[in-house]
Amino acid sequence: MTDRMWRDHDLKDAYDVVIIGGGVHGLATAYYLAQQGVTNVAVLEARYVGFGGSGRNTAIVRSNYRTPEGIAFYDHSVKLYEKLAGELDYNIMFSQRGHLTLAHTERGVSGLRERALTNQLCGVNSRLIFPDEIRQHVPDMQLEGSLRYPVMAALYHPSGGIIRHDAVVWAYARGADAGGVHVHQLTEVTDLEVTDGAISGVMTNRGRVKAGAVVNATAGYASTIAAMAGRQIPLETHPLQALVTEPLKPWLHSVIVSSTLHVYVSQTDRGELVIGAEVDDYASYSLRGTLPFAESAATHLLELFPFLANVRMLRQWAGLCDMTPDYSPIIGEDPLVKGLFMTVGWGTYGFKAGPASGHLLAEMIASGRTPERLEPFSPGRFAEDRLVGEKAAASVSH
Amino acid sequence: MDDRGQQGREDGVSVMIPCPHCERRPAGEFHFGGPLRDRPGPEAPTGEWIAYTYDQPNLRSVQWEWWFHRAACRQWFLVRRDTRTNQVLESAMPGEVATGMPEGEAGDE
Ligand SMILES: Cc1cc2nc3c(=O)[nH]c(=O)nc-3n(C[C@H](O)[C@H](O)[C@H](O)COP(=O)(O)OP(=O)(O)OC[C@H]3O[C@@H](n4cnc5c(N)ncnc54)[C@H](O)[C@@H]3O)c2cc1C
Ligand SMILES: [Zn+2]
Repeated sequence: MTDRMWRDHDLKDAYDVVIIGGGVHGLATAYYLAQQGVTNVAVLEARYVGFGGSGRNTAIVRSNYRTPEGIAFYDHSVKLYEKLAGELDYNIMFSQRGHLTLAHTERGVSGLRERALTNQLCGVNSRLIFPDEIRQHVPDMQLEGSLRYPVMAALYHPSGGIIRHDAVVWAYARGADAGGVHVHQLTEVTDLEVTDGAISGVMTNRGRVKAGAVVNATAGYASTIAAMAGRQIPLETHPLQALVTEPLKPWLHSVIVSSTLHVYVSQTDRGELVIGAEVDDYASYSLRGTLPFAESAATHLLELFPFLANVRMLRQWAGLCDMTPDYSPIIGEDPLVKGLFMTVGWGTYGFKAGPASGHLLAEMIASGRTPERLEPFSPGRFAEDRLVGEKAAASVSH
Repeated sequence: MDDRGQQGREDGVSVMIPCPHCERRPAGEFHFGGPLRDRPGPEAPTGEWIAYTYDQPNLRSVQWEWWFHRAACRQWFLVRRDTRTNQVLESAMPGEVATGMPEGEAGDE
């Protein structure tokens, strides 16, 4: 019989660090805390490991962002992902198959040109390519003809790709468990305890837990946790939907994104096409998929790949995204509640950041200092008017 | 954390918004304008304006909020919706809802 991936424990009445949320961010933070010698740590997950966005995303990993701060941060994450299967001894199927962001207008082309140059200055492999070269990567894509928006150019990012998201989450949970962390599923935080401006513990459906540090890693639910300490953060929760088709023989070898057509697609190793778009444009905590999403994603996909018209859709789903005003995350200690840390605002793009943010936030909690790479994403940046604008690079290409 | 309330929704495939001028129409015809909130006065300190600009209540419960019917009558109006289920409980004309954020109206969870 094989061992279980991680063990069940009684809930202790005190931990040094309590992490709320068993997604990639909570589990990676726990794993790296244990690596840095902080082992009296609990991850409290209301449902099961991977219930949130971490088990619902479309698994795109890339670093061709727009701002130097964003590029450096996501690049750090991609590099950690490149070594992660070995480090965690788990097959996370990271496939760096190449990522193409399409431009259909002159304005789109110049936006991508600027991004390519910024990427190159930051040492990220990314360049502008034109129809001849696009055809070599995706011979089956319609670039002109009856297209409303002919494909004029693409931002080509060879190191971008897809990963097996569930495996990443399970591997981090297993690694954290091996390091001494308690992973508690079906454990819901119902209140936060704040004493003299500092966090002192949490209340759960399984009883009270004292803690010197608490991490809010609940993504779409992060505002509900902040509210327990009387705090509001710059987040609005929106559903993001996706769908997959029946499996096909392998024919699509790159990730394709079009912001103009509001659609992106990749083919998994099982052969399914994974198709997504932008967030639903109204705030909601509903996890229910809608027909208008499936209709619009399919319509837009068919503009690029008309021959898919008879392919059947297998299923669709939604996940909750904690959207920030600048499409960048919020990582750090709450300015008004000592010991209350947050790693939130992961929006539609946070899965790829799990290793970097987990690693750096663990360092911050363990050392009490803010690592340089995290400074741009501090909770105080909004009041200081230091936004890290990534919308152009993250609203459709998550 | 319970999402089973969604089964109470009357409609399975698309979220419907009742426009007080028109009728129940799919959400795609509308623009969502965010929750109804109290706006600081023009003389309020900068900190209050920053908080109003960035911080969000982002309620997981019933709230009054703004919607704009962009595909038809092009009017702004108010809707009371459960953000857990998208169930709309009522709609109203601007001014009909006296206060800002109806705090403490959170549904039972
Ligand atoms: C359809 C879709 C496609 C996406 N595509 C991509 C992509 O291609 N690339 C990419 O990088 N990102 C993508 N994302 C975004 C990415 O999935 C998220 O940013 C990321 O998974 C967030 O991880 P997390 O660990 O912060 O939160 P989550 O994985 O959402 O975990 C939060 C956890 O907190 C738990 N929780 C909530 N409240 C409580 C409580 N009171 N007590 C205890 N636990 C609680 C929840 O049950 C949940 O398990 C996508 C998201 C969606 C929905
Ligand atoms: Zn109307």
